[in-house]
Amino acid sequence: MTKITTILSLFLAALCAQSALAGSRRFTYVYEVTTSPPGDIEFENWVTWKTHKPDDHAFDQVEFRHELEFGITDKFQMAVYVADWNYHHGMSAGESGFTLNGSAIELIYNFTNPVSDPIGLAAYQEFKAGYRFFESESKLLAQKNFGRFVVAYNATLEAEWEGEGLEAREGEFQQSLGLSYEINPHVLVGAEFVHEIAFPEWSETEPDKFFAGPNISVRRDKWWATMTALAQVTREGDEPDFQVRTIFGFSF
Amino acid sequence: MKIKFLFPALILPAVALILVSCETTVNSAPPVTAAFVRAGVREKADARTLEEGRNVFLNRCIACHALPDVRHYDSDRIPRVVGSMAPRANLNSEQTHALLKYLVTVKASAASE
Repeated sequence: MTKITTILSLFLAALCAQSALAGSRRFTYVYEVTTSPPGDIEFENWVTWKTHKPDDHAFDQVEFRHELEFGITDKFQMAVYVADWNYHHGMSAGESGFTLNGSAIELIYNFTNPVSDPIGLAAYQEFKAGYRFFESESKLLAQKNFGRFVVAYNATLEAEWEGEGLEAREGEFQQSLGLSYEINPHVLVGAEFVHEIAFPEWSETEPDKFFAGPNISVRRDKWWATMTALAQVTREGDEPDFQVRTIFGFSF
Repeated sequence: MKIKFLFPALILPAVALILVSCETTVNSAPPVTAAFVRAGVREKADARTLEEGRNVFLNRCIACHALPDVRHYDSDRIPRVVGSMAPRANLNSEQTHALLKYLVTVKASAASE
């Protein structure tokens, strides 16, 4: 299957899902500061395809996340990532096959409004656990809406513990920027940028990694889907040169 | 902190800041000023209802889209759009009424300028 065919297949699969506009996302790698309305329950499916590393041209990995999102108040939402799993192939991926990575819980609290306040701000916290794996991810979310134009920025600090006794530790600082323009209420286009630095054992610093690419978000009466394609701008051997993420969801 | 790390670490927020300073505010939710309330009186909406309607828009609607350019909407379209959107935003009848009054006042206020 060619890469173009794979991308189109992933996006068409997303379009087939029944969904509503509530909780629809403009970005797939950047979080927005607004939260789901109270009482809303939404099911979101994430599919991320990563391919081709400079050190492993045969690398292919498809990651899946299944999220249940609950609007609690006008300012607070909670989500459960029921299962994170992936299919991987390639020398750097180890043995080809499926891996269940774990489950997670996510909390987002909105502090200020991206329209009426000088800047919209929110706090994000996620805890993820799996077999010999625990991760804590904290984000500061910032956003400003200028009518149809939205700018969103996330600063993320991630701490991982893994292995027997959770002895191996790694930290990561990530920042991401999303730009989105509403062509009409049904179609939004934009771009996303991601910058990452890993700190193995919190004592070293790996080279920076930078990714950039376009995105599109499509909403109709009963569904929405957002897709982002990122290319690696740097040339880090152990990072995919190309990745595509599609998120689609529906409300109950 | 290495210079090599510092430059890319700062470039993303710098890009955001430049874009923020270059853009002008359009299609934002107009605040409920005295002039806006006067326009609302003609639409049979009081200040409290208009504030509630604006809050509904800011807390529910902007999650998905900007304020539509209601200046060009005919008199039937605003109630029709609000009626179709209200269930998706989990609005109760009071919130739906307030949002409707706010949007028709936005249209009336723009027409009187």
